Amino acid sequence: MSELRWHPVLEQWVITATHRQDRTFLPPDDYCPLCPTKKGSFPTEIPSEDYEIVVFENRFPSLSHPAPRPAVEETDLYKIKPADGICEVVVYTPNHNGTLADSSITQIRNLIEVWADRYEELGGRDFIDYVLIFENKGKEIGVTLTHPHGQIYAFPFIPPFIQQELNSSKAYHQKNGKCLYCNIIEEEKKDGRRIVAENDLFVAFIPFFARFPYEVYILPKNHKSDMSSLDDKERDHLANILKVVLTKYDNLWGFSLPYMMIMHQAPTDSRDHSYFHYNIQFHPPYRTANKLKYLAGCESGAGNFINDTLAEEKAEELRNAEPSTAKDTKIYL
Amino acid sequence: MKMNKERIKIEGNRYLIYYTFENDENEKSECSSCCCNNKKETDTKGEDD
Repeated sequence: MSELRWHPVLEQWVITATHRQDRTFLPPDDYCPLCPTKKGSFPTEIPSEDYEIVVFENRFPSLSHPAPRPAVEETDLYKIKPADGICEVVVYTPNHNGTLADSSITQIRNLIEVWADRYEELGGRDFIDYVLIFENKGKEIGVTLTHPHGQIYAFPFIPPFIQQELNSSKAYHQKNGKCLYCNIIEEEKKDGRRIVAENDLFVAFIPFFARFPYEVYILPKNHKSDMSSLDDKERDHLANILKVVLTKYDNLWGFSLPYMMIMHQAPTDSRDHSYFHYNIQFHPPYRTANKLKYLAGCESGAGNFINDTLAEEKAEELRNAEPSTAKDTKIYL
Repeated sequence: MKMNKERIKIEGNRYLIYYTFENDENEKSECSSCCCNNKKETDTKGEDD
């Protein structure tokens, strides 16, 4: 069963999806549902012996179309809506072992093409207001399948963090006549201490206001609102900087760093969101090589982050990690 | 680069899309000046323990 339950205090939707309790949980490598289906072997989700990149509807979706009937009746206070939407799995490679960081720049460039295509196709559906592309990597984040993959949630509404980001971007634009993120890029470049990597068309930095110790933002230098509006050259440069940042993460402490990677794009609700600036945010859960940053009482209970580190120092560590950008933060194609 | 899509139906009346690519030779060459291939030998802590 799944449905949307309105939280009247926080004024946001909560998705209930009880069937997800039964989803596949860390199966043995031989029974990975994201591997190709080999002759004589058990059938996986992908009925082919080989593939490049595959996208399919999640077997255990939080949102589906058509949505099932809600399990309970709504009241005046407790509103309910069907959990209408689409949940997809994006399988990056047929190779079970490895990570996005291990992919070649060509593979990452191909994946960018797929992400843009999914944003356009799903966002083009009339009941979809927001397309959230993301990757949960690592057991610390709670992944249930280790095969390299990401996910897409196509929502019938705009999720609350994104709505807040849109509100502040719009208000800033109205007040200053400029894009908020364009000014953040300007400020970060002027200071320079928090820049992690840069090429001609993209910049990566730990923002002044970082909530996680190694929280990296990647933004296009040109004002673009979503992936589909990136031209070929920008997509090439995005592949390059993604490879650099992901490789730095893995070289920071010599192990494959878990993270949440979230694409923030303009909604697809037919309104004008040209003020919004496309960005990718990474939230790694580690604060040192062997300590996790937990979202405890203050963060989970009050929504107020406490960062135990200085963004300036953490950015320097990432700049020094291979591929080193310590001397010159610019890495050209 | 050219991207192709093939959509099929799978169990549970769900769709699956195979994406394939025709990359030019110059697209296949890796980053020409940066050190993306400098990734050190790593253990697999985090994901594959």
